[in-house]
Amino acid sequence: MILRAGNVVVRYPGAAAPALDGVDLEVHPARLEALVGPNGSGKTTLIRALLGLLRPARGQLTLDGKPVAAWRPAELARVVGVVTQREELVFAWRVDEFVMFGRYARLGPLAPPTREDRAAVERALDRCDVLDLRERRVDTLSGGEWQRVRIARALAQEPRILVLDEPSAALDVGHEMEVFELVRHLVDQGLAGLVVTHHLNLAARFADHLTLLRRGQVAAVGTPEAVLRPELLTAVFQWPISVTRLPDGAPQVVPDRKR
Amino acid sequence: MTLGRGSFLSELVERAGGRNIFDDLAVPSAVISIEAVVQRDPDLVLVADAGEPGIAGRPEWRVVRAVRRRRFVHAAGSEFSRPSPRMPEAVRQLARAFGAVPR
Amino acid sequence: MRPTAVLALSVAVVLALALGLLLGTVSFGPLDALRALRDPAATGGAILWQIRLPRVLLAFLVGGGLGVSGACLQALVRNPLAEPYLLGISGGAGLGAVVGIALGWEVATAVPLAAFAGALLAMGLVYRLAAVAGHRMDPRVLLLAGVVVSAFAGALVSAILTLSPAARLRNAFLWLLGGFSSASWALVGIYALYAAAPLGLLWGASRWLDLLSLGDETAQSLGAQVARTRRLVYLTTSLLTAACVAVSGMIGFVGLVAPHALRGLIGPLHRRLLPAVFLGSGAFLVVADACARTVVRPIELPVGVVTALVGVPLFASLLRRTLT
Repeated sequence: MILRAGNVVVRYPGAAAPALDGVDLEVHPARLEALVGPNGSGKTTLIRALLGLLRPARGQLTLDGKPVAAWRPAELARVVGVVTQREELVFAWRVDEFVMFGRYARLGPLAPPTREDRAAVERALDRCDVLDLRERRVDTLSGGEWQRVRIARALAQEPRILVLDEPSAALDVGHEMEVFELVRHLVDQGLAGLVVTHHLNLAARFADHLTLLRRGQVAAVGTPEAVLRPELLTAVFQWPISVTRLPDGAPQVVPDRKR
Repeated sequence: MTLGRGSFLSELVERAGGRNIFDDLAVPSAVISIEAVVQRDPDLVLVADAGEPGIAGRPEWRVVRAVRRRRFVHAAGSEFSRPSPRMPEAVRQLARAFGAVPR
Repeated sequence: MRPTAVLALSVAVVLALALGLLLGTVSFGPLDALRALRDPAATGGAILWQIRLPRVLLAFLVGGGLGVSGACLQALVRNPLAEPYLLGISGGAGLGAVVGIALGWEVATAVPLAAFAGALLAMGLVYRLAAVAGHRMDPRVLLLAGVVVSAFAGALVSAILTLSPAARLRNAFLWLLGGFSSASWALVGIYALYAAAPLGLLWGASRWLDLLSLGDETAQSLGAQVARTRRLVYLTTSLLTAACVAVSGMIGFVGLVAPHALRGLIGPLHRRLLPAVFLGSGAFLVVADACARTVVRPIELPVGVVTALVGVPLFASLLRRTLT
């Protein structure tokens, strides 16, 4: 099952330039795709379009060959697990209740949860290493725990594709690594992964394939080595950038000091 | 809603030989419960508007004996709501009406 | 659901209903009440069967309706401080009622209908306003539109009251402050029949309410049809609130306090919360009404006064508990 964007153009009402101007992207099973680029380059817009939250002015957005707009929200939710950039916490849910939300697309409004559903929630909690938090209230969790619980909820949907929009924003170094290691592990087990991140270095170490956006257009696609080139990055981010290499071969971005 | 001791109409009633079942209320007017009326069991009900009172048809009001037997006396008109030269006439009217009500 | 919570709630409901039945201008002891109930023709039995029982039941059902509306609206607009009256419905109902009273209509039959019509008008206006602003059912726009419509209706009500004779003015105030003095079996029947569908629908939407409270994008990504659910919940809570206000005037705090208290007791999951809120806020209003007609008997206080006097300190202590 492939999530595909083909030559997508999106215009926000009243904006001078299109937010996305002919962008292609593909998300494949057992592959982690990273979407990177400066602020305002169109990353979140592309995600919204891929999930059917936005209608494009032009282009095709398909999931498993069928246009995304033709999928009903519950159908989509059974296949694509999303961890959005932000969500609101108005009420104090318990972690296990909260992760059970991931099963709602399969349950519909009235059917009570089955053993199957409870097992799926267990498995999701376990894979994200938050089983011991199940009785806690979500408003008492730390940033990292909260993020892992949200990923668990996405996993409870039993999706084929996992989409994460800035999953490590506001997390400390340890929690950042935790989240990306988890996602990598899930992708290695067969999930298709798409991560939007401003963390070039994390993308470089964990992703198989990068798409670099700049002002709504694709500036580069390919492996981390192919995309993270100093001249290109300097031009795209408007800042002098060098690239070094880690012992395992992953490129690492090092912005220069101006003085 | 009913009228208490201090009100003008209540005074007229007293002068006409009747007794306000709510004359223990010091306020000129107040909202009272239907139960209170049932408990105090008036002989008749003084209605401030002309025409059939709305409460006559309502089952919860028919628990009151005077409503069941339709013992209504009408006191419409401005001579019943405030002091005027027609006060004695108002009292006579009420007294006649009270006398006409069967026991 | 925690068994102790269920037990506590059931006991509270039974106690409340009993209290409502026993207290009043004419007070009964429990045994006297049972004896009186068995003889509906006698004075005591008549009071219980014809006057008090319909009143207690109506208070329970209206309280339940207001509580459930409040809880659903809080999820819909993602704000635990939302009340059923925020969406302008009460303003419209008040206007309808005051117009009816000013025209001299019958307080027990025509005025509630006028109030209901006013509520529907206000609902339509708020919906239209929210749509014109370009954001279909955006919670913030809905709230603003509700405030605007309420203010407008309030201004009209003030104007009418200023021009009304004293007796009508008094009646209008009494209606606005809320009460169950015109309760009857007919009214109980009408309201119960009417409210069953909205209550059922709202409970059926429990799972979507859970999701909607997380934000539109998250809700949709978890399978909710956001726009459609929003519209449904908005319309249904409005219709339910309109009926409550038409039947018993504007009784505040019931839709605010009960959901808060019960969320702390039962948890926020709407599937469990909504039935609990129905019972809890129903019981609350029954007790408030019992106080309203007993505290200064034979005079009846407006129920809205009691719910505010009790509701405000209750709400303050709830707030303190959640904020610390």
